[in-house]
Amino acid sequence: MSLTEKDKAAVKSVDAIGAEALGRMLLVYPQTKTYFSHWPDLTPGSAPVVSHGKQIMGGVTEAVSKIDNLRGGLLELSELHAFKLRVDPSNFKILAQTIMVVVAAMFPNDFTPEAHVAFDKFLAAVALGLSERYR
Amino acid sequence: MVEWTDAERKAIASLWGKIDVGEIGPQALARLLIVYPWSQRYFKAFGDLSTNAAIMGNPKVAQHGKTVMGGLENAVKNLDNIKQTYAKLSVMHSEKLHVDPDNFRVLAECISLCVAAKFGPSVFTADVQEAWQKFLAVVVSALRRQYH
Repeated sequence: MSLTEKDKAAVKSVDAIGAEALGRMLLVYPQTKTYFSHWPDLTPGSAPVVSHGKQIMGGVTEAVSKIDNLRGGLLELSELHAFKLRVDPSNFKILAQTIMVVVAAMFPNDFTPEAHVAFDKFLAAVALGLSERYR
Repeated sequence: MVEWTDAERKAIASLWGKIDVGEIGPQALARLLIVYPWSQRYFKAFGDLSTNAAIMGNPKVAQHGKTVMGGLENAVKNLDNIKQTYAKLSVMHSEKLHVDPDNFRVLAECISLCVAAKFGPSVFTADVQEAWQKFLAVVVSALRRQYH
């Protein structure tokens, strides 16, 4: 089994969404930069932003595969965010909003009202799953 | 007082110049009613909101979307005085319409999404998004201001 051109394009676009969303989040919600003070470059398109955006979308893709049990499926990621990264959970909503803006901008024809509500619900459920282990 | 950079002023004016309030307004309001259906509580007089298709085709939704979006014109023209510009509207939304102010934030998000979908990432760049969302946040804050 090898990746078709279509597969590769889909994966690349997911990574691109992540990089774009993270870059925009740092610019539009500057308070989020406080979590990345150890990066040399926080501008959209910089190496750490692109690489980390990819990592985050990997997590979102994982959540899609666990869509029938997000609370249970995201426990490990929740522990990471709660105990190691100590990210204030209000930021999950913020990143969700920028992900949606990027998806709407890149795929306007697919971003129908039905897709919008489903995606909004999904990202809210992911945020809830990530908050599970906080306290 | 809100500080606007020259780049932000330019971005807001430029984007506003491209926006058709008759197009984006109805889309944004329809999405609010579809994605956050509890917001329908404020529009009982609008008739059929029972399905997504009904909402998207509802002429009262379209008209009101255009009105709300058009209201942003005042803010664009009064960037340095948005709080005062919206004082009366804020009182009205609080005391006459009894709108939960969280709806302003959520409608602003729907507006941004419709704008993003309309113009794509090369027009709605990260810098333009920053200026636009800051602008909407100031409007939302002004609308919340007179709630007691």
